[in-house]
Amino acid sequence: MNFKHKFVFLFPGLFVLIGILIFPIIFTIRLSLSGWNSYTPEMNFIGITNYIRLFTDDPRFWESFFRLSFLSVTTVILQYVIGFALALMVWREIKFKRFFRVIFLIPMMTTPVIMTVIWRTFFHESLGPVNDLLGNIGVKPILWLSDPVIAKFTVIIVEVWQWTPFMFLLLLAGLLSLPKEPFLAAAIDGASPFRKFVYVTFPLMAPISIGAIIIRLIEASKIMDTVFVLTSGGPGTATETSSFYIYIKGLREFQMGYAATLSFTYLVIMIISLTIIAKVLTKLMIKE
Amino acid sequence: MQDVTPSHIGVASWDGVMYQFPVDGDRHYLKYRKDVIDNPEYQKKYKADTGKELRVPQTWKEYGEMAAYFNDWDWDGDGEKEYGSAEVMKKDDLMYAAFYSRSAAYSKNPKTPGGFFFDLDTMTPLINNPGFVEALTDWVAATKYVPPGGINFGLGDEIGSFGGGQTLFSFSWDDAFVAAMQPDSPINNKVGAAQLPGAMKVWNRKSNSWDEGFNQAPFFVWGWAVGVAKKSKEKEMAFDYLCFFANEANHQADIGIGRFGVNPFRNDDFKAEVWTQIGWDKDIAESYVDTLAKMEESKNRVFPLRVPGTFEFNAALATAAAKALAGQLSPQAALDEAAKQWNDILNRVGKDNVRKAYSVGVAMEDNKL
Repeated sequence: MNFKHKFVFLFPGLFVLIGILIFPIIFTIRLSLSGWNSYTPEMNFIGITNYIRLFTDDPRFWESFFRLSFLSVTTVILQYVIGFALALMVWREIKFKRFFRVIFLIPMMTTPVIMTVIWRTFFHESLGPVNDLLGNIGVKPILWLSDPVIAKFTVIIVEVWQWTPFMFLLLLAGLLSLPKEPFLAAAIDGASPFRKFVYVTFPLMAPISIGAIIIRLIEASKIMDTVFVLTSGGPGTATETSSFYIYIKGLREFQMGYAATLSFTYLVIMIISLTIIAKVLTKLMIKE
Repeated sequence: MQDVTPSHIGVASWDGVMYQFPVDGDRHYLKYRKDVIDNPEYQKKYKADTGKELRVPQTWKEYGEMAAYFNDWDWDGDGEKEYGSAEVMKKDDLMYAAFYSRSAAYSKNPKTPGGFFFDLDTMTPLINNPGFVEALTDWVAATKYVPPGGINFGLGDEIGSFGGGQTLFSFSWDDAFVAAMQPDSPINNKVGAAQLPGAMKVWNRKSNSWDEGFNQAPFFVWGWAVGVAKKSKEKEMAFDYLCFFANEANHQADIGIGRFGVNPFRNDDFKAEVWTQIGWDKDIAESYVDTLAKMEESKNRVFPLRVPGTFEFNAALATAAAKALAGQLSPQAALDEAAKQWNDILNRVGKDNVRKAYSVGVAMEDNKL
């Protein structure tokens, strides 16, 4: 097969790649160098003005980025711990195993925006059932959505509820694919369940754990719908994340050029930070 | 079209030329629980406890005092706690309009024409002057007398809260009032309408001091309007549909249902019998149409921004106000931050572009159009 034939077979894939990945990135970079907004909707060229504005005069973006880091790392850690525990629970032969496996997956199958609307109704501080129920046992209304600190944890609760099943699914698949021999050897050696977990299960699960954590970190770093519906980034800017801020700049204020600058910068930061995180996790979790 | 009120002809026009087909008329006004404010027992109790009259609040300070007094206790005897006020405080949910409503009395000085948002001569943002700061300070205090979670109320929450009988006061669009007056509402015929509260002082940006004395300024908040594309091949059909959509019968049916969002913009809507025939008590209908009519007659009105960059200006202000409400910044610091951002936006958009557009709004505010 000569080069031309290979090219013909590669072309459909390359075409799709260029269409959905390369072109949008190049377009975003070009857009970021323009002042496109609602009053000058044109692809003019303003050089790196938007980047200078971002790095010298936009603390709100950086605040939202650090807030996002906190939210995504916290939610993913919780999802990993809970997801792993649930996967271990239904990994072994227990009664109603299939039932539990399906039940645990339900949150992931629901539509995030609709579920967040329902959570918002639950957590509504004066009309929602959560404070109502707590009131019955003498607990004062909790400001789930309007206290700057508690609102962050409310976002975390909803995210953990929605996406722990994804972690559960990946980790359960990993557990089911583990070889049986190391466990038999550990049993012959008389290892306790705890030692089996620490010295056999966890190390064997490390590669898939890293994969699951990275996939969830990528997803969690795009938190937008939950924040949009639950708090609109409030109170104040207490739950504003990078993607929500980019949405405000781009689709609320129609500063398309500046929003492209934010998007591209965010993409670069995420690629660098996730690469570093993957390396660190590999070093910590996989022993040669 | 001849029946459209002058204010909403102005809203649908640009520099004297009408470009839009109005189907709705929006304005902010005060809504209150008439069964409480007019209740002789509560009037007596309020007088005994505070030494002041319980009446329809004339100023934002009175509004705050009454709302705080009637906060967090069961004053309608339904077994549930009620609260002082429901307001649109959620960022990015039209909360900037609520803030302008609260600011108008302190900052729209009839003695200083030439701009409410900017000084038209210099294009200096006025939103961090002492008038606006006073309004934001009042608003921060209001977080203490809204229902739990009220700081996160959007327009829908406000309508549901006041319309559901949860609060003594509210102010914003008609929808909450109309919803409260529907037959299925728990507070049907228990509400009243009045002008937005005023203030006993108003900032004078020329003398750089407060002018003492009562001041009040209605806030018109546009309204839905429709345009037909210049390149449309079926212009007549489009206009025919609009005429049907907004004809008298459809319009009358729409304005009586809160969730429809269609509000009065025709002179005929200002007749009490329009409302009594859908079940409103006569005195409530009269107070309602009287409120709307007085807004039309006012010579000290505020209209929202209609300039290039409006979204950015409003979003910057809303973010700053939200930070103050959440306790992240003081009112002065928050509005200073907003003013700085307004200057940045002005520089990006071009001061002259904004001035040119804003001069049309100022002409409306100064009764020159």
